[in-house]
Amino acid sequence: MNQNPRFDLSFMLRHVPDFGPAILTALEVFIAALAIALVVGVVLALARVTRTQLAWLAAAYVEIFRNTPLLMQLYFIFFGLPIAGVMISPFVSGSAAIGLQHGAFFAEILRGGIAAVRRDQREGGLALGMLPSQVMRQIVLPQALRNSLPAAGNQLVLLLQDTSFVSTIGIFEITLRGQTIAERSAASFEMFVVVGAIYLLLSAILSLAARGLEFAAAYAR
Amino acid sequence: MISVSGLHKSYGGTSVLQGVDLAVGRGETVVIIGPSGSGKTTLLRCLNFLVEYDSGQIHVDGKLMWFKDAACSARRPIREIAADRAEIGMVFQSFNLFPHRTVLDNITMAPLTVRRGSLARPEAEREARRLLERVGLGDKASAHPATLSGGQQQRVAIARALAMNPKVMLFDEVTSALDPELVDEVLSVIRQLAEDGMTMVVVTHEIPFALDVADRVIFMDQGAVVEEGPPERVLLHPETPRLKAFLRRFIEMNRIARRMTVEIGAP
Repeated sequence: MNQNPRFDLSFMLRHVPDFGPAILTALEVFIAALAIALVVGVVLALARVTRTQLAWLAAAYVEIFRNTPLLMQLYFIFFGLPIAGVMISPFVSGSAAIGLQHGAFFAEILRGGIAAVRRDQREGGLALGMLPSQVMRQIVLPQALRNSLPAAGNQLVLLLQDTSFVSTIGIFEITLRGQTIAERSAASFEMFVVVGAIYLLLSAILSLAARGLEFAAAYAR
Repeated sequence: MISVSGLHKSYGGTSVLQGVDLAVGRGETVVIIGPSGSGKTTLLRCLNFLVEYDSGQIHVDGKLMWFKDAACSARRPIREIAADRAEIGMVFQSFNLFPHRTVLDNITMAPLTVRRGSLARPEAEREARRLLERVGLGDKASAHPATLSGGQQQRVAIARALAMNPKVMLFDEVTSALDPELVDEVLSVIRQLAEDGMTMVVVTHEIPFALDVADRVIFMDQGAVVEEGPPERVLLHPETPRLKAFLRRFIEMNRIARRMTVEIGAP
Protein backbone atom coordinates (compact mmCIF):
# COMPACT_ATOMS: atom_id res chain seq x y z
CA MET A 1 0.00 0.00 0.00
CA ASN A 2 1.33 3.36 -0.98
CA GLN A 3 1.48 5.68 2.03
CA ASN A 4 3.32 8.50 0.32
CA PRO A 5 1.29 11.74 0.34
CA ARG A 6 3.39 13.08 -2.58
CA PHE A 7 2.31 12.77 -6.17
CA ASP A 8 3.65 9.36 -7.22
CA LEU A 9 4.63 9.68 -10.85
CA SER A 10 6.32 6.30 -11.21
CA PHE A 11 3.30 4.49 -9.76
CA MET A 12 1.09 6.31 -12.20
CA LEU A 13 3.21 5.47 -15.23
CA ARG A 14 3.61 1.85 -14.14
CA HIS A 15 -0.15 1.34 -14.28
CA VAL A 16 -0.81 2.98 -17.65
CA PRO A 17 -0.50 -0.34 -19.56
CA ASP A 18 -3.20 -1.82 -17.30
CA PHE A 19 -5.67 0.39 -19.10
CA GLY A 20 -5.17 -1.27 -22.50
CA PRO A 21 -8.07 -3.75 -22.33
CA ALA A 22 -10.22 -1.12 -20.58
CA ILE A 23 -9.71 1.31 -23.44
CA LEU A 24 -10.72 -1.39 -25.92
CA THR A 25 -13.85 -2.14 -23.91
CA ALA A 26 -14.73 1.56 -23.76
CA LEU A 27 -14.29 1.82 -27.53
CA GLU A 28 -16.54 -1.21 -28.04
CA VAL A 29 -19.25 0.42 -25.95
CA PHE A 30 -18.66 3.68 -27.82
CA ILE A 31 -19.05 2.09 -31.25
CA ALA A 32 -22.09 0.01 -30.32
CA ALA A 33 -23.76 3.02 -28.69
CA LEU A 34 -22.86 5.27 -31.62
CA ALA A 35 -24.36 2.82 -34.11
CA ILE A 36 -27.59 2.74 -32.12
CA ALA A 37 -27.59 6.52 -31.69
CA LEU A 38 -27.10 7.20 -35.41
CA VAL A 39 -29.88 4.84 -36.48
CA VAL A 40 -32.25 6.15 -33.82
CA GLY A 41 -31.27 9.75 -34.63
CA VAL A 42 -31.90 9.47 -38.37
CA VAL A 43 -35.18 7.60 -37.91
CA LEU A 44 -36.44 10.10 -35.32
CA ALA A 45 -35.37 13.14 -37.34
CA LEU A 46 -37.11 11.82 -40.46
CA ALA A 47 -40.20 10.97 -38.42
CA ARG A 48 -40.26 14.47 -36.98
CA VAL A 49 -40.25 16.18 -40.36
CA THR A 50 -43.12 14.12 -41.72
CA ARG A 51 -46.46 15.66 -40.97
CA THR A 52 -47.96 12.47 -39.58
CA GLN A 53 -48.69 10.88 -36.22
CA LEU A 54 -45.13 9.62 -36.26
CA ALA A 55 -43.89 13.17 -35.72
CA TRP A 56 -45.63 13.28 -32.34
CA LEU A 57 -44.26 9.93 -31.29
CA ALA A 58 -40.76 10.98 -32.24
CA ALA A 59 -41.13 14.28 -30.41
CA ALA A 60 -42.31 12.43 -27.29
CA TYR A 61 -39.32 10.09 -27.50
CA VAL A 62 -36.89 12.99 -27.80
CA GLU A 63 -38.40 14.83 -24.84
CA ILE A 64 -38.40 11.77 -22.59
CA PHE A 65 -34.88 10.66 -23.40
CA ARG A 66 -33.16 13.99 -23.26
CA ASN A 67 -34.98 15.19 -20.16
CA THR A 68 -34.03 12.30 -17.88
CA PRO A 69 -30.52 11.52 -16.62
CA LEU A 70 -28.52 8.91 -18.49
CA LEU A 71 -27.71 7.10 -15.26
CA MET A 72 -31.39 6.67 -14.52
CA GLN A 73 -32.06 5.36 -18.02
CA LEU A 74 -29.18 2.95 -17.66
CA TYR A 75 -30.54 1.57 -14.39
CA PHE A 76 -34.00 1.43 -15.88
CA ILE A 77 -32.74 -0.87 -18.62
CA PHE A 78 -30.22 -2.85 -16.60
CA PHE A 79 -32.39 -3.47 -13.54
CA GLY A 80 -35.82 -2.94 -15.06
CA LEU A 81 -35.77 -5.26 -18.08
CA PRO A 82 -34.88 -8.39 -16.07
CA ILE A 83 -37.97 -7.74 -13.94
CA ALA A 84 -39.95 -7.78 -17.17
CA GLY A 85 -38.30 -11.07 -17.98
CA VAL A 86 -35.81 -9.73 -20.53
CA MET A 87 -32.27 -10.78 -19.66
CA ILE A 88 -29.57 -8.75 -21.37
CA SER A 89 -25.87 -8.42 -20.70
CA PRO A 90 -24.30 -5.35 -19.08
CA PHE A 91 -22.62 -4.56 -22.41
CA VAL A 92 -25.91 -4.54 -24.30
CA SER A 93 -27.71 -2.61 -21.52
CA GLY A 94 -24.96 -0.02 -21.38
CA SER A 95 -24.63 0.45 -25.12
CA ALA A 96 -28.41 0.60 -25.53
CA ALA A 97 -28.88 3.16 -22.78
CA ILE A 98 -26.21 5.47 -24.16
CA GLY A 99 -27.32 4.89 -27.75
CA LEU A 100 -30.98 5.55 -27.01
CA GLN A 101 -30.31 8.84 -25.23
CA HIS A 102 -27.75 10.09 -27.72
CA GLY A 103 -30.13 9.07 -30.49
CA ALA A 104 -32.48 11.75 -29.17
CA PHE A 105 -29.67 14.31 -29.29
CA PHE A 106 -28.59 13.28 -32.78
CA ALA A 107 -32.22 13.52 -33.91
CA GLU A 108 -32.38 17.14 -32.77
CA ILE A 109 -29.08 17.94 -34.46
CA LEU A 110 -30.23 16.41 -37.73
CA ARG A 111 -33.64 18.08 -37.49
CA GLY A 112 -31.83 21.40 -37.27
CA GLY A 113 -29.72 20.39 -40.26
CA ILE A 114 -32.83 19.57 -42.26
CA ALA A 115 -34.53 22.82 -41.27
CA ALA A 116 -31.45 24.71 -42.46
CA VAL A 117 -31.83 23.39 -46.01
CA ARG A 118 -33.61 26.13 -47.92
CA ARG A 119 -37.20 25.40 -48.86
CA ASP A 120 -36.51 26.18 -52.51
CA GLN A 121 -34.14 23.21 -52.65
CA ARG A 122 -37.15 20.99 -52.05
CA GLU A 123 -39.17 22.88 -54.62
CA GLY A 124 -36.37 22.54 -57.15
CA GLY A 125 -36.59 18.75 -56.83
CA LEU A 126 -40.38 18.56 -56.72
CA ALA A 127 -40.72 20.75 -59.81
CA LEU A 128 -38.61 18.20 -61.71
CA GLY A 129 -41.15 15.49 -60.93
CA MET A 130 -39.32 13.80 -58.09
CA LEU A 131 -41.33 12.32 -55.22
CA PRO A 132 -41.04 13.93 -51.79
CA SER A 133 -39.21 10.84 -50.51
CA GLN A 134 -36.73 11.04 -53.39
CA VAL A 135 -36.24 14.75 -52.77
CA MET A 136 -35.56 14.02 -49.11
CA ARG A 137 -33.04 11.28 -49.84
CA GLN A 138 -31.16 12.85 -52.72
CA ILE A 139 -31.41 16.57 -52.11
CA VAL A 140 -32.35 17.47 -48.53
CA LEU A 141 -30.63 14.76 -46.45
CA PRO A 142 -27.16 15.02 -48.02
CA GLN A 143 -27.16 18.74 -47.35
CA ALA A 144 -28.72 18.31 -43.90
CA LEU A 145 -26.03 15.81 -42.90
CA ARG A 146 -23.32 18.26 -43.91
CA ASN A 147 -25.08 21.00 -41.99
CA SER A 148 -25.19 18.72 -38.95
CA LEU A 149 -21.54 17.73 -38.89
CA PRO A 150 -20.13 20.42 -36.56
CA ALA A 151 -22.78 19.80 -33.90
CA ALA A 152 -22.59 16.02 -34.42
CA GLY A 153 -18.81 16.10 -33.86
CA ASN A 154 -19.44 17.76 -30.53
CA GLN A 155 -22.03 15.15 -29.64
CA LEU A 156 -19.59 12.39 -30.56
CA VAL A 157 -17.17 13.60 -27.88
CA LEU A 158 -19.97 13.73 -25.30
CA LEU A 159 -20.97 10.20 -26.23
CA LEU A 160 -17.43 8.95 -25.70
CA GLN A 161 -17.33 10.51 -22.25
CA ASP A 162 -20.72 9.10 -21.35
CA THR A 163 -19.31 5.58 -21.79
CA SER A 164 -17.94 6.12 -18.28
CA PHE A 165 -21.49 5.57 -16.98
CA VAL A 166 -21.33 1.86 -17.77
CA SER A 167 -18.70 1.56 -15.03
CA THR A 168 -21.69 1.63 -12.66
CA ILE A 169 -22.99 -1.70 -14.00
CA GLY A 170 -19.66 -3.47 -13.72
CA ILE A 171 -18.17 -3.11 -17.17
CA PHE A 172 -14.41 -2.81 -16.91
CA GLU A 173 -13.91 0.21 -19.06
CA ILE A 174 -11.56 3.11 -18.34
CA THR A 175 -13.32 4.63 -15.35
CA LEU A 176 -13.98 1.37 -13.48
CA ARG A 177 -10.43 0.18 -14.17
CA GLY A 178 -9.10 3.43 -12.69
CA GLN A 179 -11.37 3.08 -9.68
CA THR A 180 -10.27 -0.46 -8.87
CA ILE A 181 -6.58 0.35 -9.18
CA ALA A 182 -7.11 3.43 -7.03
CA GLU A 183 -8.93 1.48 -4.37
CA ARG A 184 -6.24 -1.17 -4.24
CA SER A 185 -3.44 1.37 -3.98
CA ALA A 186 -4.91 4.36 -2.20
CA ALA A 187 -3.25 6.49 -4.87
CA SER A 188 -6.64 7.73 -6.04
CA PHE A 189 -5.52 11.05 -7.35
CA GLU A 190 -2.80 9.62 -9.62
CA MET A 191 -5.19 7.10 -11.10
CA PHE A 192 -7.79 9.69 -11.91
CA VAL A 193 -5.14 11.82 -13.58
CA VAL A 194 -4.47 8.80 -15.81
CA VAL A 195 -8.18 8.25 -16.43
CA GLY A 196 -8.66 11.91 -17.28
CA ALA A 197 -5.64 11.91 -19.58
CA ILE A 198 -6.95 8.88 -21.46
CA TYR A 199 -10.36 10.49 -22.01
CA LEU A 200 -8.67 13.72 -23.06
CA LEU A 201 -6.50 11.91 -25.58
CA LEU A 202 -9.33 9.83 -27.03
CA SER A 203 -11.63 12.86 -27.24
CA ALA A 204 -8.94 14.91 -28.93
CA ILE A 205 -8.46 12.22 -31.56
CA LEU A 206 -12.21 12.04 -32.05
CA SER A 207 -12.54 15.81 -32.39
CA LEU A 208 -9.78 15.83 -34.93
CA ALA A 209 -11.44 13.05 -36.91
CA ALA A 210 -14.74 14.94 -36.82
CA ARG A 211 -13.04 18.07 -38.10
CA GLY A 212 -11.45 16.01 -40.85
CA LEU A 213 -14.84 14.61 -41.80
CA GLU A 214 -16.30 18.11 -41.93
CA PHE A 215 -13.49 19.20 -44.19
CA ALA A 216 -13.84 16.16 -46.45
CA ALA A 217 -17.60 16.59 -46.74
CA ALA A 218 -17.47 20.28 -47.59
CA TYR A 219 -18.35 21.00 -51.17
CA ALA A 220 -17.19 23.94 -53.19
CA ARG A 221 -19.02 27.03 -51.97
CA MET B 1 -51.49 23.50 -74.46
CA ILE B 2 -52.37 25.17 -71.17
CA SER B 3 -55.81 26.35 -70.24
CA VAL B 4 -56.65 27.87 -66.92
CA SER B 5 -60.12 28.90 -65.91
CA GLY B 6 -61.48 30.65 -62.85
CA LEU B 7 -58.39 30.12 -60.74
CA HIS B 8 -58.75 31.36 -57.18
CA LYS B 9 -56.21 31.34 -54.40
CA SER B 10 -56.09 33.14 -51.10
CA TYR B 11 -53.65 33.02 -48.22
CA GLY B 12 -55.45 33.53 -44.95
CA GLY B 13 -57.81 36.38 -45.73
CA THR B 14 -55.71 37.77 -48.59
CA SER B 15 -56.94 36.93 -52.06
CA VAL B 16 -53.96 36.49 -54.38
CA LEU B 17 -55.68 35.10 -57.46
CA GLN B 18 -59.23 36.22 -58.13
CA GLY B 19 -60.50 34.14 -61.00
CA VAL B 20 -57.67 34.00 -63.50
CA ASP B 21 -58.32 32.69 -67.01
CA LEU B 22 -55.41 31.92 -69.27
CA ALA B 23 -54.84 30.00 -72.47
CA VAL B 24 -51.47 29.18 -73.96
CA GLY B 25 -51.27 27.55 -77.37
CA ARG B 26 -48.73 24.95 -78.43
CA GLY B 27 -45.40 26.58 -79.20
CA GLU B 28 -46.61 29.92 -77.92
CA THR B 29 -44.55 32.21 -75.68
CA VAL B 30 -46.71 34.09 -73.24
CA VAL B 31 -45.10 36.77 -71.12
CA ILE B 32 -46.78 37.84 -67.89
CA ILE B 33 -45.97 41.26 -66.50
CA GLY B 34 -47.33 43.14 -63.54
CA PRO B 35 -46.38 44.81 -60.27
CA SER B 36 -45.15 42.66 -57.40
CA GLY B 37 -48.03 41.15 -55.47
CA SER B 38 -50.15 40.92 -58.61
CA GLY B 39 -50.24 37.11 -58.43
CA LYS B 40 -47.92 36.32 -61.37
CA THR B 41 -45.66 34.01 -59.40
CA THR B 42 -48.56 32.35 -57.58
CA LEU B 43 -50.19 31.64 -60.94
CA LEU B 44 -47.04 29.91 -62.21
CA ARG B 45 -46.68 27.95 -59.00
CA CYS B 46 -50.29 26.77 -59.25
CA LEU B 47 -49.55 25.38 -62.72
CA ASN B 48 -46.89 23.20 -61.11
CA PHE B 49 -48.82 22.32 -57.92
CA LEU B 50 -46.23 24.06 -55.80
CA VAL B 51 -49.22 26.06 -54.60
CA GLU B 52 -52.55 24.37 -53.94
CA TYR B 53 -55.23 26.61 -55.43
CA ASP B 54 -58.65 27.00 -53.85
CA SER B 55 -60.82 26.63 -56.94
CA GLY B 56 -60.67 26.68 -60.70
CA GLN B 57 -59.38 24.28 -63.33
CA ILE B 58 -56.07 23.79 -65.07
CA HIS B 59 -55.63 21.64 -68.17
CA VAL B 60 -52.25 20.90 -69.64
CA ASP B 61 -52.19 19.22 -73.03
CA GLY B 62 -55.87 18.39 -72.67
CA LYS B 63 -55.38 16.66 -69.32
CA LEU B 64 -57.02 17.97 -66.17
CA MET B 65 -54.43 18.77 -63.53
CA TRP B 66 -55.75 18.39 -60.03
CA PHE B 67 -54.48 17.64 -56.55
CA LYS B 68 -57.69 17.59 -54.57
CA ASP B 69 -61.18 16.57 -55.64
CA ALA B 70 -63.48 19.49 -54.89
CA ALA B 71 -66.50 17.21 -54.46
CA CYS B 72 -65.20 14.68 -51.95
CA SER B 73 -61.94 16.45 -51.05
CA ALA B 74 -60.00 13.25 -51.75
CA ARG B 75 -56.36 14.00 -52.35
CA ARG B 76 -54.71 12.85 -55.51
CA PRO B 77 -51.85 10.35 -55.05
CA ILE B 78 -48.52 12.15 -54.85
CA ARG B 79 -47.12 9.87 -57.57
CA GLU B 80 -49.62 11.17 -60.10
CA ILE B 81 -48.89 14.77 -59.17
CA ALA B 82 -45.17 14.13 -59.52
CA ALA B 83 -45.72 12.56 -62.93
CA ASP B 84 -47.59 15.69 -64.07
CA ARG B 85 -44.90 17.97 -62.68
CA ALA B 86 -42.29 16.06 -64.66
CA GLU B 87 -43.95 17.27 -67.86
CA ILE B 88 -43.81 20.91 -66.80
CA GLY B 89 -40.36 22.46 -66.55
CA MET B 90 -39.87 25.29 -64.09
CA VAL B 91 -37.03 27.73 -63.63
CA PHE B 92 -36.88 29.79 -60.45
CA GLN B 93 -35.70 33.27 -59.58
CA SER B 94 -33.14 31.82 -57.15
CA PHE B 95 -31.88 29.05 -59.51
CA ASN B 96 -32.34 26.32 -56.84
CA LEU B 97 -29.41 24.28 -58.10
CA PHE B 98 -28.31 21.48 -55.77
CA PRO B 99 -25.06 22.72 -54.20
CA HIS B 100 -23.83 19.27 -53.16
CA ARG B 101 -23.75 17.88 -56.70
CA THR B 102 -21.88 18.78 -59.86
CA VAL B 103 -23.53 20.58 -62.75
CA LEU B 104 -23.82 17.28 -64.64
CA ASP B 105 -25.38 15.54 -61.62
CA ASN B 106 -27.81 18.43 -61.20
CA ILE B 107 -29.07 17.78 -64.70
CA THR B 108 -29.15 13.97 -64.62
CA MET B 109 -30.53 13.54 -61.09
CA ALA B 110 -34.22 13.90 -61.90
CA PRO B 111 -34.23 11.91 -65.17
CA LEU B 112 -32.27 9.07 -63.53
CA THR B 113 -34.60 9.09 -60.53
CA VAL B 114 -37.94 9.52 -62.25
CA ARG B 115 -37.17 7.27 -65.23
CA ARG B 116 -35.24 4.71 -63.25
CA GLY B 117 -35.20 1.44 -65.11
CA SER B 118 -35.81 2.89 -68.54
CA LEU B 119 -32.94 5.39 -68.65
CA ALA B 120 -29.28 4.39 -68.38
CA ARG B 121 -26.71 6.72 -66.85
CA PRO B 122 -24.50 7.07 -69.97
CA GLU B 123 -27.54 8.03 -71.99
CA ALA B 124 -28.67 10.56 -69.37
CA GLU B 125 -25.19 12.06 -69.24
CA ARG B 126 -24.96 12.30 -73.00
CA GLU B 127 -28.25 14.18 -73.05
CA ALA B 128 -27.09 16.41 -70.17
CA ARG B 129 -23.91 17.35 -72.03
CA ARG B 130 -25.92 18.10 -75.15
CA LEU B 131 -28.16 20.42 -73.13
CA LEU B 132 -25.14 22.09 -71.53
CA GLU B 133 -23.79 22.78 -75.01
CA ARG B 134 -27.15 24.21 -75.93
CA VAL B 135 -27.03 26.74 -73.08
CA GLY B 136 -23.40 27.51 -73.82
CA LEU B 137 -21.83 25.73 -70.83
CA GLY B 138 -20.34 22.63 -72.43
CA ASP B 139 -17.17 23.02 -70.37
CA LYS B 140 -18.86 23.24 -66.96
CA ALA B 141 -20.16 19.66 -66.56
CA SER B 142 -17.93 18.80 -63.61
CA ALA B 143 -18.09 22.21 -61.91
CA HIS B 144 -19.97 22.77 -58.67
CA PRO B 145 -22.83 25.27 -58.85
CA ALA B 146 -21.31 27.68 -56.34
CA THR B 147 -18.27 28.18 -58.58
CA LEU B 148 -20.47 29.54 -61.38
CA SER B 149 -21.77 33.06 -61.92
CA GLY B 150 -25.47 33.72 -61.43
CA GLY B 151 -26.07 33.78 -65.16
CA GLN B 152 -24.29 30.47 -65.61
CA GLN B 153 -26.22 28.93 -62.71
CA GLN B 154 -29.49 30.03 -64.22
CA ARG B 155 -28.53 28.54 -67.59
CA VAL B 156 -27.72 25.24 -65.83
CA ALA B 157 -31.15 25.44 -64.18
CA ILE B 158 -32.73 25.83 -67.62
CA ALA B 159 -30.78 22.82 -68.92
CA ARG B 160 -31.84 20.86 -65.83
CA ALA B 161 -35.52 21.59 -66.50
CA LEU B 162 -35.14 20.72 -70.19
CA ALA B 163 -33.60 17.36 -69.29
CA MET B 164 -37.03 16.10 -68.26
CA ASN B 165 -38.16 16.84 -71.81
CA PRO B 166 -41.12 18.93 -70.65
CA LYS B 167 -44.08 19.93 -72.76
CA VAL B 168 -44.15 23.37 -71.20
CA MET B 169 -41.55 25.62 -69.58
CA LEU B 170 -42.38 28.08 -66.82
CA PHE B 171 -39.96 30.90 -66.04
CA ASP B 172 -40.46 32.75 -62.76
CA GLU B 173 -38.59 36.06 -62.85
CA VAL B 174 -35.47 34.18 -63.79
CA THR B 175 -33.33 37.28 -64.30
CA SER B 176 -34.45 39.21 -61.22
CA ALA B 177 -31.66 37.90 -59.01
CA LEU B 178 -28.94 38.51 -61.60
CA ASP B 179 -26.46 41.32 -61.96
CA PRO B 180 -27.51 43.46 -64.93
CA GLU B 181 -24.61 42.36 -67.13
CA LEU B 182 -25.62 38.69 -66.72
CA VAL B 183 -29.25 39.14 -67.73
CA ASP B 184 -28.72 38.95 -71.48
CA GLU B 185 -27.02 35.55 -71.52
CA VAL B 186 -30.06 34.03 -69.80
CA LEU B 187 -32.60 35.88 -71.93
CA SER B 188 -30.87 34.77 -75.12
CA VAL B 189 -31.24 31.11 -74.04
CA ILE B 190 -34.96 31.70 -73.48
CA ARG B 191 -35.22 33.50 -76.82
CA GLN B 192 -33.59 30.50 -78.51
CA LEU B 193 -36.10 28.17 -76.84
CA ALA B 194 -38.95 30.33 -78.16
CA GLU B 195 -37.54 30.10 -81.67
CA ASP B 196 -37.28 26.32 -81.28
CA GLY B 197 -41.02 26.23 -80.64
CA MET B 198 -41.11 25.48 -76.90
CA THR B 199 -44.37 26.37 -75.19
CA MET B 200 -43.47 28.87 -72.50
CA VAL B 201 -44.97 31.05 -69.80
CA VAL B 202 -42.49 33.72 -68.77
CA VAL B 203 -42.99 35.99 -65.78
CA THR B 204 -40.56 38.87 -66.10
CA HIS B 205 -39.89 42.55 -65.55
CA GLU B 206 -37.83 42.78 -68.74
CA ILE B 207 -40.21 44.82 -70.89
CA PRO B 208 -37.94 45.04 -73.97
CA PHE B 209 -37.56 41.26 -73.85
CA ALA B 210 -41.34 40.86 -73.69
CA LEU B 211 -41.74 43.13 -76.69
CA ASP B 212 -39.16 41.14 -78.57
CA VAL B 213 -39.96 37.52 -77.76
CA ALA B 214 -43.58 37.26 -76.61
CA ASP B 215 -46.33 36.05 -78.89
CA ARG B 216 -48.72 37.45 -76.34
CA VAL B 217 -48.35 39.66 -73.29
CA ILE B 218 -50.55 39.45 -70.22
CA PHE B 219 -50.74 42.22 -67.67
CA MET B 220 -51.84 41.08 -64.22
CA ASP B 221 -52.74 43.30 -61.31
CA GLN B 222 -54.34 42.47 -57.96
CA GLY B 223 -54.81 38.82 -58.79
CA ALA B 224 -56.53 39.21 -62.14
CA VAL B 225 -55.68 39.56 -65.82
CA VAL B 226 -56.19 43.22 -66.67
CA GLU B 227 -55.02 43.35 -70.27
CA GLU B 228 -53.75 40.85 -72.78
CA GLY B 229 -52.88 40.81 -76.43
CA PRO B 230 -49.98 41.04 -78.90
CA PRO B 231 -46.89 42.65 -77.37
CA GLU B 232 -47.03 45.81 -79.50
CA ARG B 233 -50.67 46.34 -78.63
CA VAL B 234 -50.29 45.79 -74.90
CA LEU B 235 -46.91 47.39 -74.32
CA LEU B 236 -47.04 50.28 -76.78
CA HIS B 237 -50.77 51.02 -76.73
CA PRO B 238 -51.96 50.18 -73.21
CA GLU B 239 -55.65 50.81 -72.67
CA THR B 240 -56.19 50.68 -68.94
CA PRO B 241 -54.93 53.33 -66.51
CA ARG B 242 -53.33 50.63 -64.37
CA LEU B 243 -51.16 49.30 -67.19
CA LYS B 244 -50.29 52.83 -68.26
CA ALA B 245 -49.18 53.59 -64.71
CA PHE B 246 -47.15 50.37 -64.59
CA LEU B 247 -45.38 51.07 -67.88
CA ARG B 248 -44.63 54.70 -67.03
CA ARG B 249 -41.61 53.59 -65.00
CA PHE B 250 -40.09 52.11 -68.15
CA ILE B 251 -40.75 55.30 -70.10
CA GLU B 252 -38.75 57.09 -67.44
CA MET B 253 -35.94 54.54 -67.77
CA ASN B 254 -36.06 54.95 -71.50
CA ARG B 255 -35.65 58.71 -71.25
CA ILE B 256 -32.49 58.10 -69.26
CA ALA B 257 -31.35 55.51 -71.80
CA ARG B 258 -31.80 58.02 -74.62
CA ARG B 259 -29.71 60.61 -72.81
CA MET B 260 -27.04 57.98 -72.14
CA THR B 261 -26.98 57.11 -75.82
CA VAL B 262 -26.27 60.74 -76.60
CA GLU B 263 -23.61 61.08 -73.89
CA ILE B 264 -21.87 57.70 -74.10
CA GLY B 265 -22.71 56.54 -77.60
CA ALA B 266 -24.93 53.78 -78.90
CA PRO B 267 -23.94 50.18 -78.05
